[in-house]
Amino acid sequence: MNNVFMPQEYRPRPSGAELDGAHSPQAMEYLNSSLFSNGLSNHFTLCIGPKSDMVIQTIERQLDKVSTIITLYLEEMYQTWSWYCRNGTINFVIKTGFQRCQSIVPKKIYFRSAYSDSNSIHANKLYDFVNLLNIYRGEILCHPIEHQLNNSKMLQAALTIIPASLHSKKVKCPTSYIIKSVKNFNQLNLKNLVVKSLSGMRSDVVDKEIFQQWNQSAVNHLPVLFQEKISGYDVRVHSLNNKFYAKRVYQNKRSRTYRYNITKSLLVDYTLLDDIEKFCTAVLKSESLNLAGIDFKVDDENNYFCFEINPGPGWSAYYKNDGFKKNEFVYDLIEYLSHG
Amino acid sequence: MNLLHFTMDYHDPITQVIVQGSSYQANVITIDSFIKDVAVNDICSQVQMKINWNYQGIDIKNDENTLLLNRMCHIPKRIFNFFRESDQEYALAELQAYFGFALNMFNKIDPKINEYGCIPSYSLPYQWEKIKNEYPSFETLEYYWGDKKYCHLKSNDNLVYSDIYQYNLWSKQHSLVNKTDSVFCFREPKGVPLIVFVIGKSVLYSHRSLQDQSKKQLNRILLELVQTFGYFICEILLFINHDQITFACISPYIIQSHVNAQFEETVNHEITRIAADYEQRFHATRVSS
Repeated sequence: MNNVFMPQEYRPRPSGAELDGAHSPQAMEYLNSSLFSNGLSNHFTLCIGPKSDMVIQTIERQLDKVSTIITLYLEEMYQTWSWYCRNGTINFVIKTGFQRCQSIVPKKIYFRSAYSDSNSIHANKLYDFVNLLNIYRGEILCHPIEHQLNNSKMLQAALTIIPASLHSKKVKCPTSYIIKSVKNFNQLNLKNLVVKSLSGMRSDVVDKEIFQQWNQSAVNHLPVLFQEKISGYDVRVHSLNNKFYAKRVYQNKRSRTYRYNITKSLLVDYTLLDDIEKFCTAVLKSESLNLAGIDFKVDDENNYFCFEINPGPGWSAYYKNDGFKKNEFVYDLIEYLSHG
Repeated sequence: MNLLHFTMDYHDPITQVIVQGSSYQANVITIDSFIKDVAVNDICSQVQMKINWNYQGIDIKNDENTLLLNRMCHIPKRIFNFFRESDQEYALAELQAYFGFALNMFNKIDPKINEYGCIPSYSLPYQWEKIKNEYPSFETLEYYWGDKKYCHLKSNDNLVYSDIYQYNLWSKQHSLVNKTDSVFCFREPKGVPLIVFVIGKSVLYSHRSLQDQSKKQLNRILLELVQTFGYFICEILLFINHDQITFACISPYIIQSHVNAQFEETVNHEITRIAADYEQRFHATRVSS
């Protein structure tokens, strides 16, 4: 049996993204029936994702009784809500009570990606739904098929980050080495390198003190990504509709990992340089994104190393203590989903 | 100039022609042989983007001397049987991510290679909606997809129950048995099936029922349609019913066309032509620089 280089304990499952097989649905109660009676069933935005997704939960907490935003859990598909497509015309049907339901043609869909084992009861539902979104004609935030370049970090670096960085004096892309074969691994200068996943699967970012202890023969089986280690502080930029919201991350000094742990870090609003905004605008244009999370590390010489553009950012952890009205990003997002 | 042919396995009809081809040099690498025998030493930075493979002593690089023809349409799960169960899902994601990067860094014949390194496939509803919008001269099939409870088509409407990525099921007699809450079904197409194989600028038909004039017209539309979907090699299924042409599907998989007597000659002709074009362009660039 072969194994992969990065052991399982360094590959944490993203919290909130996994579909809950044990979830028991309840009919939705907060739909305002007067909106339907006015024939406005096409004025709704649907936010669809796993029940435990923090973004969905954060949005839910901001909604009032007259909101035009409806949150739906993927686990409850074909139970409290469902969908159908007749020759390209897509309708959502939402249960509003006992034997009552409402048909909706949403103007927008905000999709939160989900994970399901291929053997799970949810796997087919997710497969169908992701493909349905590919023919939906309205606006989709976080499109699960079109906006997935970050499933290959190096492809995103090659097609988006590096071309956009050429127009900026400050933005750099860390040098990466992709190695398969122990011979090539042994020739690599490991000093100042980290190892991380090539794909969108979450992994810890681990430096040589740790990865040198791993089973090196596994490098013969699959390509492995080694990347230049950058020292500095982290900046996360969220963008919505060409507006930017940045936070500097003060990492807990006791943390042993290169990548910060968001729940243990101090987050402070951060003002972006024009040059960095220009870069962010270029990458969003390149990937046709309306909503994204962009990760930087800023070194001592004020160079901004861009690691990733996340087309489905989990922004809730960055704004969880700010409250809806106080926080510009959350406020703007709710406004955007409701109206703009 | 070296042709690099990356493929799922030796069963692929295009791969079989390339392996036997005599008019061009090709390095053929299957997914299995990549995992077993290819050493990788790539660099991705702001100043260089180098793919360096070594396969059985041969260096393969993403330079002007190499032209890629990719025939990987999906990565078969059996590849990962050799990995521990707990590693299989991660291994698949990592391999897809790598192919998505590396294969896109070569000079390539294929207009589109997705972020998983594959020639993309499209669901039938996606294809039919695109055809309805962009090629209205074709008929498409009436269909329903979604929650079983709201299906507007009646079972006596000659319905075919299928899957959205099933390119090989067009008769109600072979309908799939559905055990889930959702259903995908469409009216069985009327007429005679016509299978069209397209490679580059060449078009092969499965039978000769069309008049020369209508064939010429159809060729023009199909070559444009193939570009819209981003294929270099594909198979298209149409149903001909008198003057009406119904579009059924387009896919990168070669399911029927390889039995055509002209298949091998057509594939060789197009690959030789495109390799010669590439060599000429490469030579012209070298001379001018």
